[in-house]
Amino acid sequence: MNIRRILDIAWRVLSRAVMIAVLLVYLVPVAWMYSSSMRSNGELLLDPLGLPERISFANYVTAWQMADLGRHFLISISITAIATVIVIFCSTLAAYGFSRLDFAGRKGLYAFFLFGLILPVQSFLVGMFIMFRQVGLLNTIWSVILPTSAVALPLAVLLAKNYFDSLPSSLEESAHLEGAGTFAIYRLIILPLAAPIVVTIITFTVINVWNEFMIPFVMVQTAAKRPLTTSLYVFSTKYSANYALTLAALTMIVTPMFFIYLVFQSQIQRGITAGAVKN
Amino acid sequence: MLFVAPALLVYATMVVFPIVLSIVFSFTEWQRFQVLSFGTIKHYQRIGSDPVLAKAFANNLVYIAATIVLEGFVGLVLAAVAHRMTRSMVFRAIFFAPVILPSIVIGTLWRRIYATSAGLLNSLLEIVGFEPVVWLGPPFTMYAVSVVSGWIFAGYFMTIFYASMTRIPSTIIEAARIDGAGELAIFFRIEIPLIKNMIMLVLLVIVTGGFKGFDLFQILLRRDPLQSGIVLPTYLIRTFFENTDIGYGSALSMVLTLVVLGIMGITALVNRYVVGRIDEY
Amino acid sequence: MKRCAFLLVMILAASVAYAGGSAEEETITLRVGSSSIGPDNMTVFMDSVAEFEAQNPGVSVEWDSSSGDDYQFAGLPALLESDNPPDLFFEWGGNRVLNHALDGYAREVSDLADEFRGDFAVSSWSGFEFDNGVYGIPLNQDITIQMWYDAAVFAELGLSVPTTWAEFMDVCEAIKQSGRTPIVMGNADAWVAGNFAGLFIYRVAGNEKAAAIMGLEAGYSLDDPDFVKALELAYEMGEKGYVNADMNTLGYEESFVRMFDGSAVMYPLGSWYPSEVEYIGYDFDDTGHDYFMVPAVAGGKGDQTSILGLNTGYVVNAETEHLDLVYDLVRVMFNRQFQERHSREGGGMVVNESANAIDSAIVAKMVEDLASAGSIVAPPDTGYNLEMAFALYEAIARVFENEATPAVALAEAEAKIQHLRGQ
Repeated sequence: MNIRRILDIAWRVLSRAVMIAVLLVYLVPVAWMYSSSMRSNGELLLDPLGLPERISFANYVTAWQMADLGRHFLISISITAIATVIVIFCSTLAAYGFSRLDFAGRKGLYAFFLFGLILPVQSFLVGMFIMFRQVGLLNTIWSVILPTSAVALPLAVLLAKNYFDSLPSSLEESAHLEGAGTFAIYRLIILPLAAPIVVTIITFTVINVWNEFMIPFVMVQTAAKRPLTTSLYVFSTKYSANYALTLAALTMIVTPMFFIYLVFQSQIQRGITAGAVKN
Repeated sequence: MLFVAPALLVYATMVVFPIVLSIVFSFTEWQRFQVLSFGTIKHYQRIGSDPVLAKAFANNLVYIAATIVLEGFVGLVLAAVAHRMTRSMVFRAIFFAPVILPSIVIGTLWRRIYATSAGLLNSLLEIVGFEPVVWLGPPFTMYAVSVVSGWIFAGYFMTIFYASMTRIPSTIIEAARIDGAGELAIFFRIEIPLIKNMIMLVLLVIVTGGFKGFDLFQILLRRDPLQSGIVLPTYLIRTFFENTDIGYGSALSMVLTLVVLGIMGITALVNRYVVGRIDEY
Repeated sequence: MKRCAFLLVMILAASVAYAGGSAEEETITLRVGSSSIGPDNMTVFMDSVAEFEAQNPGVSVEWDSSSGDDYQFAGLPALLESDNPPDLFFEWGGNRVLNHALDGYAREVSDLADEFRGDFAVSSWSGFEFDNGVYGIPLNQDITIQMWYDAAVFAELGLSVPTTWAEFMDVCEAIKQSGRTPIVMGNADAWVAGNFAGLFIYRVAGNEKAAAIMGLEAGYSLDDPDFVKALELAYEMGEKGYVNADMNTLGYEESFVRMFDGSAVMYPLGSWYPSEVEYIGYDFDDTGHDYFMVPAVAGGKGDQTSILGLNTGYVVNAETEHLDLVYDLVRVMFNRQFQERHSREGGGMVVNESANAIDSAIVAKMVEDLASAGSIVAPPDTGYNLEMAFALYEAIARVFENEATPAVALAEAEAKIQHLRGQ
């Protein structure tokens, strides 16, 4: 019994130690980023591990102006907002169709959608670039919005359909008897009930589109049209000699995201792990 | 049918049609953006004898092997530890956080951490008396990128495993403890077998994801002149953009597609239940 | 829920309007594309643009200077393919301009060029003038590889500028002994070391043979014994620790810091080095940095006074809708007054020889060196097929880092470009 107790304590100590060590691996880089972003580049070069002598926001102001972050924030916001609206609209509508309506080729079409879950973006990147070039939409926000929406769509359809399948159809049937049309039933009955899954879809769509790097890297080359991710790439390359400035720009991007995460943490976790199959 | 139409339209024009285009392009002879002729198989003939492609493929395999450990195994261990703690909430929340951040932020930060001079890692090692190391160069390149991958995704997979573990009836584990089973035995004999399906699924995600990763390689390694970290996606994009080689770029994208679909197909055949899980997810 | 939706629509509308920038419908906008430009040159460009805009009410100029490497290797092709391509864009003279001419992107501009011929150096048109016409207006003459060095450190160590290869190696050794890195390169984008060793290649193999090999002419291959011999010089520098150990992961922009934190002493880079230094926040005149030309290489059978260099300038988009305005813009941007300011404030050489600020010691020295060069040879990445250039650069990177011997690395490079042969 004594040995068990010792083992038990050893286990507790060990597991705490492991967790705290891992915690440091996460916290130290982030803390270093915050600390360095407030120092001058000269100080940072001389003593990379030093702490800021005072709280200074000079780097933030400079980085904000030089990286034109305001503009790129707005571009990213518009891309994300439009893509999310497209995904929500298309996916709930389609999922309702797949779940409740009977039409020829329904199963085949659904499988066709699910196929998109396992396709890498690179499969259609080249064709997509040439297609956008032909219609003259390269270097526009649409060349990011449409592909990212399409990429998010299969998972959204899958989640929404599964959700609708789990809803009892008695409500709709009674509405149907009262003479409501299919679209009215969808809008008045199904959509309100679907709020939880809509929130999930919004969560992973917003995060994926906001963070998307490869698609704008390929599609948008005009500096003024770049979303936040690729404009930050160019900025961090261009000013990479100024470590403090680069880290200040990163800090400004990350901080609001940390706050949002803090508030909606469980919602966000649910949202992105729902995308597990998609990664 | 009408309900499905908008989604179908977006999906067909943005995914299906471009894939068909890519397939056609891979059999087309190009001069930059101009089509010279259709029906060539020379791009596919080149694939067999392309030394860079072989190197990229080998690097992809290294990356996959390393991320299975750094993302999957670490995630599993962290989940097991968290599962045994009474208050693991804060840990779990923090470990999960990187996955919501843009790759550009994480990549740029880690490029600074790995920097030979004035980098965080070398500065810390200097305190303990180590010489500066070129972390992003050979022989470390692929592992350095994999570590960042692990930093991002270990917490993510931990969350997934943790959720599965909480679904194991606690009575089973309690019974084992009463029978005198150690924690390691419980981990290997009870928890792992019971969440086997989820482990397989995560493995599949890591392996196929390992062929798709682009962001971190581009951000951390830039043009990578030694090609010590070239992988299929970066090679594809360089072929397509730098050389404006649409034909070969398309052929490479087909290779990537077939590899990913092939792995999916094989897994589906070997473990029908994995497919079942994807469907019911 | 409704209020949320309303708010969302408002945000959408506002941001789309912002991103679209559709406020000024009536003005004509000319777009200029360039690589990244140092702050001093940028000021001059902006002043010339302001002058042009003052002369042409209702016309505005939008300047898009993307990051250098993005522009060189990815940006421009995609930029030219966009719905709003630049009307006028920067280019490195040579193969790239010829490609644009062949692709139909570059406009034949002999008529405009004739207006400048009297003022510009005859050699300045090379890289822009081809058999079938002129496809751009040059602005700068660039030397691509000079050996920049920290004169203060040279004085401290009692070193003098080397005039032979052996002396050059001795200088490297002495610097290394003092605990500093002799030569720093930010080669993460492959072309810095590529240009440096490119010069060895010309000097060892001779200009004509080097051009034939890099031009992929039949009967030659990249693993030619002369190329192997040239890269052995690079291998030796790597082996002896004369270059920074992290050269292939260090970013080009980051690398300059090493010339200022006291860790490195020499940097093989072109005539734009002063503007690059100002770009990261130093005043070049205060740095005490100077340069020497790379000495004759050991055992070279080519012209040992050759200079790796090229002209850079601006190409008119063949499909511009505002040709007259673009011509007017060029007339302002390239006039003598602004050329002089580019030379004086940017610290480089311009093609209008009389406008070069030769009262600046560094500019005077460059002008003289360029004039006394036996030949000017093109960097591999602008003079030849880009895919070949990168295969060669990757071999050079591996050789400097001693990852492979010159023979092995060049054989690999040859294998990479097999598909280009016989096309």
